[in-house]
Amino acid sequence: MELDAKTMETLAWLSRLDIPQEEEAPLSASIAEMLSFFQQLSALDTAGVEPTAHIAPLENVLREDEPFSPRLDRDLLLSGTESEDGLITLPKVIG
Amino acid sequence: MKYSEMDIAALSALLQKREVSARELAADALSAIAETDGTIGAYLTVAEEEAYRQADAADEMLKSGTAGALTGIPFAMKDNICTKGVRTTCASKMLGNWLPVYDACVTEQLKKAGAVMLGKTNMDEFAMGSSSENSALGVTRNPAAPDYVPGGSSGGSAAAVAANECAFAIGSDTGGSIRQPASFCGVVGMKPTYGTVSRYGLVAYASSFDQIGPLTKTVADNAKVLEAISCHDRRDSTSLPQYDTNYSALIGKDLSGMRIGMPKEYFGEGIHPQVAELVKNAAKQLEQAGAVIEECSLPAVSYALPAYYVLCCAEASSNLARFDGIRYGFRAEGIEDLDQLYRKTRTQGFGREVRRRILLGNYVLSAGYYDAYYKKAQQARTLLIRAFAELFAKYDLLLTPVAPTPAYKIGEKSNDPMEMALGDICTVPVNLGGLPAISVPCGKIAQDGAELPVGFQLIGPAFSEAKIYQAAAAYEKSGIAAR
Amino acid sequence: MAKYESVIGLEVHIELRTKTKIFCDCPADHGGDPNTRCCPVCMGMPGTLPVLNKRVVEFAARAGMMLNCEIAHFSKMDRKNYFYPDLPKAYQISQLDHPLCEHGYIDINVNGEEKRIGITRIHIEEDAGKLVHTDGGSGADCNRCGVPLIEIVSEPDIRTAAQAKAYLERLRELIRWVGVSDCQMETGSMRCDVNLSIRPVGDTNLYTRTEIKNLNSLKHIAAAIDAEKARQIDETEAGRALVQETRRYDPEKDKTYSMRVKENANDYRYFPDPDLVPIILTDEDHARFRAMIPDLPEERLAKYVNELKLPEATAKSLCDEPALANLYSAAAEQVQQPKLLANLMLADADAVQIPAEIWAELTNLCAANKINRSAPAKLLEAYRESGKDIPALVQELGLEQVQDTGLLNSIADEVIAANPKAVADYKAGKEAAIKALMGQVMKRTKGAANPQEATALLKEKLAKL
Repeated sequence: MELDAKTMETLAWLSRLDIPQEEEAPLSASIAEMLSFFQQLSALDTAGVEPTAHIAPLENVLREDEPFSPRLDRDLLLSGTESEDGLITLPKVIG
Repeated sequence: MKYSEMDIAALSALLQKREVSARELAADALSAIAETDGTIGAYLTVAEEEAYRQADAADEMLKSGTAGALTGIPFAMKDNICTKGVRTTCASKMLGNWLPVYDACVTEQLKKAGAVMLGKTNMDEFAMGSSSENSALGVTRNPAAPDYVPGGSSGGSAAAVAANECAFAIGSDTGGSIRQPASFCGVVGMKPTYGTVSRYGLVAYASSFDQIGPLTKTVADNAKVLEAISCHDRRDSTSLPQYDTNYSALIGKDLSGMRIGMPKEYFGEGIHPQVAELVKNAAKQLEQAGAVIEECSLPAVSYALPAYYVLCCAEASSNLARFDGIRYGFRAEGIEDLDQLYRKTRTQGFGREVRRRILLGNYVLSAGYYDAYYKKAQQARTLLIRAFAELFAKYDLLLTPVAPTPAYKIGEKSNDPMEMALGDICTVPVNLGGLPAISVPCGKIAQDGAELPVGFQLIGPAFSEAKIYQAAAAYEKSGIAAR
Repeated sequence: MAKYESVIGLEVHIELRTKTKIFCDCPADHGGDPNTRCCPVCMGMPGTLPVLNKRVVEFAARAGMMLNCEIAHFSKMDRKNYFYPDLPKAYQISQLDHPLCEHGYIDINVNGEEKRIGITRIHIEEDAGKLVHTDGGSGADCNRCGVPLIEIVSEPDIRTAAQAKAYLERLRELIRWVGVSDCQMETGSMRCDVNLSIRPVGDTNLYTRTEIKNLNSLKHIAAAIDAEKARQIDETEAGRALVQETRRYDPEKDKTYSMRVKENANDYRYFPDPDLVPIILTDEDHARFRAMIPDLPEERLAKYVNELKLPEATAKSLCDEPALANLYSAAAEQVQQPKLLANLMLADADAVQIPAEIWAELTNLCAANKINRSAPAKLLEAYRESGKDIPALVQELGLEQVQDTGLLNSIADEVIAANPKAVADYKAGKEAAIKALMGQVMKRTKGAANPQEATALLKEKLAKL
């Protein structure tokens, strides 16, 4: 199967990735290869088969509406983050 | 025998008898790392200060008589598991020198047990890969043969154990990332039942598959480590309520009456003949130890691989979206607008394979394709779960190879993602089923002057860890185990 | 204009008033310095995981029942993937195909005309953070990240701005009434997006619609609806095709403007969140929630007026504050004089902080003349400080009303003897002079005398002089 430039462009945008010139051809080729590999699944008869989203046999894992963990202070939370006056700094351009 | 060559049981005995202190063991391990890791490259970060701090705490526990099986034992942690104040990189430029402000549940559990963390190990970037060659931060070599890959993604953890640079290591397994490197490096690696070990603090790759587990020198050690790290964690909604976690319980019991199936699909085309032969020899050993071995069939494995890749790429595309250059880690220079901030940061911060899987994941989830790919794969997952259930109605465990081949040369496959993917065929079905499975060394293959370790895989139904360890230990005892 | 009608559906986001956030235990209420009400989980730090707050499910189900919805037996959480600086994980945990509530309705009344507005669905999701813009640049504040929201989606049953307004007012009243949110548009705990298309009157098809986002007052919503309807009519009349797009309303110019969002921007790539397991609600759960659903506000008002004989105004001011009304109803069952109870409660600024039993006790003491009308205020103050039970406080503060006429007699005689001037004035016909004597009596009884009795007694004695 083939991937046209438009599809790659959309994909790149949804992924918020650039696709460098030199990578475009090999990348779309290898993605196409993977996708046709995935298509083996279409041969499978899955009529009436429930999709599995969770493998653990669990339901209703709910928390009481109460604090339970120690609070971390802002300086620690923002350590390793660009911040000013307690706000996470964003490039000027955003507004 | 050097401390660094001893297993946990032996070291623990020495510590209990005060013949050595945790601090001395830490010093010994750190010097072993200094000696050999220059060539092996198992570690991304050696946390010397942290190690001595934890060692002193362990010595206190030993004095006060509150010590347990892992108190004072030096270990290595895979670098996708959060360690407060110790950088956690996922072997990615994207996280660079990120210092977590919190400990993963596993990290807490091991601190409680008094184990001593030496450092953080190399891996494929964000656990995406099977050779550790996708690391953005360094090359790890197979201790058995330095020109060969250690496997992946937990390659650093497996290599660290094999090279005697720690007594045990923690890895994570999404599609074989503990078992395959264990096989390549000749150590014991367990991927427990999904939900046994909390994922809180494990940087997510594919959340419905990711599971943390131990890599060790012996089967008994492995059970002990799993006992220490498994718990019910209220911070992880998929963490299982406590069931019997005495994983060592059956070790030493003979195997008479145990039924083990060998799905023939795992021994067919694409499997290196000598790998198949070594695994079949292991089967004979298990038979002599009292198990009943039978050939069986699991046709469902044929679609396990595509189903696995669809689902984990989809989950990864979402899990890795948070790396946007705003809050932590890498941020690209020369940004003119928001779109650029995202795209430049992510393009420069992620390696090729990671970007490829993100693109794939977004494709299968995007409008119009969901049912054909994602939903279909989830249904295939259901069918595979049923197929396993049918087999486990007949057999206690399944015996298979871990990987179709032994370790390959560094650089040999790294440019062929598809061929790399096919290498996961034996391990991936286990993750789709959320099942426990172990990799146990069963011999070596001689190849251009190198001796390449090979392991076999024992797969059990959910919660059958104790039984898996029982069989694995019986095999280990029977003597022809690689080491 | 009558040639066209507009077809309007509303998407309303409401913050649930839980103690903690939806997926972590950070405080969920407004305020606090930037990034002081968040943690690694709601900041989306690598490795963190969500755990669903039980009360969010309960609150959403109660809201659904109040709006006549069917409540799900199976529900699940999904990921809605999109990039924005106020969304730390780059996905919002929400619900796609199994919302908690579906198929409800609200009845509205616009100048005499009854209309039923369908509710398609109500689902739970997490709020995003806030972007703060200063001249210094922009910054992100995660305090609001993970505050629990319900999104209430209406059917396209609304035709006019007036109906939209009526729907939102009724919605607000009912959600406040069921006690899961304060629904304040000013503070953003209630927000509204408008979906609008037009069609020739009589036509039943649906045509290209636009979505108007970020409307923060009823006034703006109504104005935006009229402005967008006018624009769509102009476009159509001019033969220009309408595009499905997101628009914003500018109150200054009273116009809507395209927000020019990129194509594919709405490809949210939803999928089930692997970190959160399914929510299963049994019939027992439904019954438990059902039991928490109050009667309708107008039913309550009628009950207060007709059965408890409260003046309309009094009943209204009780029902304005759902918590107060519920407290009153609870206390009213334990008293003989519901009107006295209402007056005592409305006289207190912070009535909801006092348990129903205490209100009933105070009311009954007053009713039985055991304490006088000024005592409750003092007792409430003391109760708030000490938390001691009322009888003990009555003792302590010596507030029991003097019933002993013997004692009152002697005090009255003393007062008369001690105040010849006032007595003389009274005798001379200055009725008012009796007030001075009353004052003395109250003073000597520390206010414990029953005023009526005391006055009667004085008059009697003075008459005999």
